[in-house]
Order: sequence, then C-alpha cells, then structure tokens
Amino acid sequence: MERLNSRVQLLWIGRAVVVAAVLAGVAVAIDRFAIPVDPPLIAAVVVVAAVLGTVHAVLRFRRWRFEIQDDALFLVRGVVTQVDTSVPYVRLQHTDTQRGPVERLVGLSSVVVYTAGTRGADIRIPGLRPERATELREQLRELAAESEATDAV
Amino acid sequence: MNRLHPISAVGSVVTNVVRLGSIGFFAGMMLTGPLDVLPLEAVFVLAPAGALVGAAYAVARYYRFTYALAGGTLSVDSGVFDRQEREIPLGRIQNVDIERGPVQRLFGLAVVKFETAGGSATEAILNAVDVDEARALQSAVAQYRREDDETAGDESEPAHDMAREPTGPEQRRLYELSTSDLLTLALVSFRPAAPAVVLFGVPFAQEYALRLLSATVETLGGPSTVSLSGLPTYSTGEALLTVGVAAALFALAAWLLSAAFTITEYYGFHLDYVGDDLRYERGLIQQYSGSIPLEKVQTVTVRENLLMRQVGYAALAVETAGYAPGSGSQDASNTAIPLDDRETVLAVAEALTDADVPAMERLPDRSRRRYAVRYSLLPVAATGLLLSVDTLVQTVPYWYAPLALLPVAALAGHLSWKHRGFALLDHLFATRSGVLVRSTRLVPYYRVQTVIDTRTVFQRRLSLASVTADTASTASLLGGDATAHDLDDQRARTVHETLRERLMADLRAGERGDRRQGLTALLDEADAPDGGVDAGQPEPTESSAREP
Repeated sequence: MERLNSRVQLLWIGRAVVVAAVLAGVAVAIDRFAIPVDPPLIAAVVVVAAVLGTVHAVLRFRRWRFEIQDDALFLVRGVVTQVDTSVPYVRLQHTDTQRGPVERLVGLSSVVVYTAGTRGADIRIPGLRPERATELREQLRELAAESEATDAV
Repeated sequence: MNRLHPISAVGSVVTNVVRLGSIGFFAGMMLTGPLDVLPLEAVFVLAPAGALVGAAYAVARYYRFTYALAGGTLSVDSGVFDRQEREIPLGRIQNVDIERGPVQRLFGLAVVKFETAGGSATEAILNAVDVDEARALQSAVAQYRREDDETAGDESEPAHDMAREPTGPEQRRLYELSTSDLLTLALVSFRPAAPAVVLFGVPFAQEYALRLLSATVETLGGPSTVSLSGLPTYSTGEALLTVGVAAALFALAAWLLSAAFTITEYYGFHLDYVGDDLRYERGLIQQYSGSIPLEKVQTVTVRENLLMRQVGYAALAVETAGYAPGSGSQDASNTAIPLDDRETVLAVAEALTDADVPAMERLPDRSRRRYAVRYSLLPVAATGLLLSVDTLVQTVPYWYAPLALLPVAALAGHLSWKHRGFALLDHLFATRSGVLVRSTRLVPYYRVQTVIDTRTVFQRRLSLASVTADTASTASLLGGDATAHDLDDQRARTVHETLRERLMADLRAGERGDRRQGLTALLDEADAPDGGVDAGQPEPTESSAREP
C-alpha cells in the first residue's frame, strides 16, 4: 500500500490553522459588534480548534493509503468515519492531475479519478509529488484502456 | 431536416407577444409616469414594439430549430443568436419521454424529451411535434437499438431513417393499473406536496375554512363560532376540541388532496413491453408516456410503504442513468408498477433482473442494539435538557416524562433492524432498508461502478461496517444508494471482495441476464389474451422463500 507524501500534513495543518483563524475573526467580530466575549475564551477556542485540526491532519495522513491492485484502485482513508473504496479500472471515465495554488506552494499535486457512479463519482488522491501524480495518471489511463470498458452507460 | 409543428410556433408567438408586450407596456408606464423621461404617447409605441419583437423572436426561433433522426444520430440545430448544433448517438439515449398537456392534446401535439446519461439537464426537447411523429421518434430510437444489437460485431452501418415501418415490433401488455388499484394507490400513498398546498391554500379560502371548522366544532358541542380572537375566551376543553378538530380537518384535506394528485398522475397507467423497451403511459390532465430500454436498466427497486405492507401491496421502480439528479417528476418517471400485489411485483422484478428475489441475510444482533440505543438517545437527551432546566432555571413538572418514549425507541430500533438486510446472488446484489417506506434494491453486479465500505467510530466499536454498491443510476433522495448497513465487519470485507470479483467476472462473461426471455416467459405464463401479468397466479412454492 502506497502512502501519501508526508508534506501533505503541512497542507492540512495549514488548513486547520486557517479555520481556527477564521473562528478567531468571528469571535472578535462578535466581541466588537454584539456581545463582549472574554479574550481568554477566544484564545481557548482558537487553540482547541487548531490542536484538533492538527491531530486530525496527522491521523488522516497516517490512515490514508492507496494501492494499484489487479483490477481496481483501492483506497483506505478517513479518521472519524473510515472509508475503503474500490474503483475498478473498467469504470474509470477519465483521470486528472490537479495542482491548486496552495498545493503548488508545498510542491504537491493531486490525482482525481472520475466514474459514472452517483455517489463516488470523483475520488481524489491528494498529497502526491508532481512526478508521481503524472506517473499515476498515466498508469491509470493505461489500466483503464487495457480493461476496455465494454459496458457503456 | 424537420421542423416542429407550426401550431407550436403559433403558441410560442402568442406567449411571447403577451410576455414582451406587457414588459413594453410596464416599461412605458414607468418611463412616462414616475420617471417622466418620455411623453405619455410612448406607452402606445413601446407596448406594440415589445409585442412585435417577441413575435419576431418566436418566429425566428421556430425557423432556426430543426431536428433530424438519421445515420444513427439525433441532430438538433437550434438558437437564434447563439447557434447550437447537437448530435446525440441513438445508442446512448436512455429514455424517450412524451408529455402532453391539455393545450397540446387539444391540437394533437406532444413534447418529446430525450435523456442521455451525461449532462445536468434533458439533452434534447422537441416542443412540440405532432403526436404521431412523437410516437414514431420513440419507436425509431427503439428500432435503432434493436438493429444495432443484431448487427453488433458487424461493421456495416445499418441505414436508419425515420423508420415508420408498417409492421412494428410486437407490443404486449405487461401491466395495467385497474380503477380499484388506482383508488387504493391514492389512499395509501402520501405526497409531501399535499399538506404544503393545504397550508398555503387555507389563507385564500379563509372564510370557508373557518365556516367549516365552526360547523364541525359546533356539532361536536364546542363554541358556535370559531375565531382566532375568541380563542382566549374558550375553556380548556373547548380549546382542545377546536385544535383537535382543526388538526383532523387539516389531515383530511391533505389526504384527499394527496389522493387527487395521485389520481391525476397515475390515471390510466399501463406498461407495455415493446421490442426491448418498457413503455408506460399515464396521466389524467397532463399525459405522459416514456420508454425505458431494458438494456439501460441500472437498478430495480421494490418499494412498499407501511400501509402497502399491511395490505400486501408493493410498487416497482426501474432506474436508468438518464434523469439528471433532482429533476422534477423523477420518481414517477422511474415507476414501472405503481401498485400491485407483492407477488406480481416480485415476479416482474425477477423477470427484469433474471434472478429470484431472495430471502435477505439478517444483520447481526448487535446492529439491533445499536439502533435501539441510537433511537433512545433522543428521549434521553430531551430528559437531560428538561432536568438541567429544572435544576438551573425553573422547576419543570414531569421532567422525566420523555423517558416514557424509551420502549417506542426500542421498538423503532427493532423495526429498523428487522427491515434491513442484504443478499449476494449469482448475478445480483440485493439490499433492503426502511421502515416507513421499505425499499428492496436489486443491483446486477455488472452495473456496479465503485464499492465503498464505511465504518464510523460507533460502528467500529461494535465491529460493524456498511457496504455501498454505487451505480450510475440516478436514485432519488428517497431511494438513495444500494447500501447494506451495519454488517459484521468481516462479512463486510467479504461482500466488498465479492462485489468486485463478480463485477469483473460478469463483465468478462458478457453477463447481462436474459431479461428478454424472462419477460416473455412471464407474459406467456400469464396465459390470458389481454389479462397481462395480473392474471398469472403466483406459484405457492415461490412465496415461501420471499417472506421478509
């Protein structure tokens, strides 16, 4: 089972910190314009949010793995709710590599696979080195072509 | 190249004239009146000008809209300013629906809608064509698919024209909704729209509603006139009576309205088996007809609500990938059998999936405990809330009253557990869930797109897991996914593996199930000149395996 690049934790922790900062902003706004809030309370909320977010990010990274199996892409992820997904290659509609501005900042890339399903229609593998992402996309494309989808929707 | 029916152009000219003419009129009123930029006479110029532009646009749109069915594609060219040329391969069309409102029926017109799997809206709408042309288009798409099937592997492209062949494919009646079944359906089905309409409708008929309420309350010995301002003067008994009667009348009105909706929607419902398509027709005021190609069927769902289960009835829905998620009357469009006795519905479901609907595998006992605990949380939380109010704010009499609901919660848990289950068959994955509306979903393995296991924190504590077989079918919000809930963790892993393996095996073997044969056999078995499946007697041996 392949794991994500550990740098993805930075990304997720960063996101948690941003959420905490937004919370702090909201709390300050409430304090300023509505009812007074104790500064220690604000600080506590922000710290708890940031810590929880960080722990979640680390646990998420530890849990996240995927594998190119014989006939399907297999993914294991999720902290609170654990999710195992099998995406058979015959079902791949198309595959993307995506790099958002923040991902580029930490030098990471994502692969997104699309199926015709209604629930798991797009599945994202985050936190890949750009070379690995491109390689994975090519690999998935070949596997999808080999498995020749005979069953058009 | 074909154009839409000229009468439809007249119709859209009239609508546009009214619409743009009135916009011109009101714009003129605004500009001359409050804004005072133009002299008063401008109104008499702007209104006709708006009407003229509207008419011209409608005419232009009519002449710029052409469609053709040739060479295995449906091509639709449309648009006045933004030209759009759309080609839809006939083999990719999922459903062809024909709709006829009262006005269209008056002029012998019909609206034809073509659905494919992609996209977020209906892919092509012909509004409107001659009704015979509509039927011919529907048949032509079916015809193409059939010929394409026969010449599969053959490189020669069959020539397709408007295919008005004199000898159409055999048409056999699979199901017909009898009047008594329609009335039963109206009484046992519940439409959320009905109470909403009553709620919004009451203010408009305030007088009548109040008079009716007063009369009913008076006969029951309450105050002779009911009014909101009089409410504080009532005794407790009178107030309770008034409120009770109002609620009962509301429920009755909602129920009757719901029944009326159901009757207008399903009036004259019948399902035919034509070539390789299922074709239904229904509707009292707005008439609908739709074709569902058998080879496009993704999942088959047997649905029974609480009342239907009591009288041994069930409904059948056949899902394709055609309808965009959340599109209007999707539930009705998927309906293959609105209501019939359980045996008949199961027989058709089995014919459609070429499998026997099995006895379901029960969930482990600890799932039942989980549901009971889950439902108990609500009364416990309510009690906790009341207790804290009692100790912190003010005394609450009977703060422990919600605990009386605990047995109900336990029963709800038991029922949830009892109605949930799943089964792994030779070529089919079956799941069942729901107490108020119980859905049994049948998913052929070769339709599975992805397999998803989920384990929440609480499930992990009991080593349980849920397995979802995701398909391309656009299941409604009520329907949801084919999910087997709360299996034993180990069993869930096996189910996951099995789904994957069977998907590949069935795809490789070209397994599609012989639905054609199944349906024909079913119809032959019915063995009545015009009786349909209804006439067929279910074999007693089959029923034993199916009971929940």
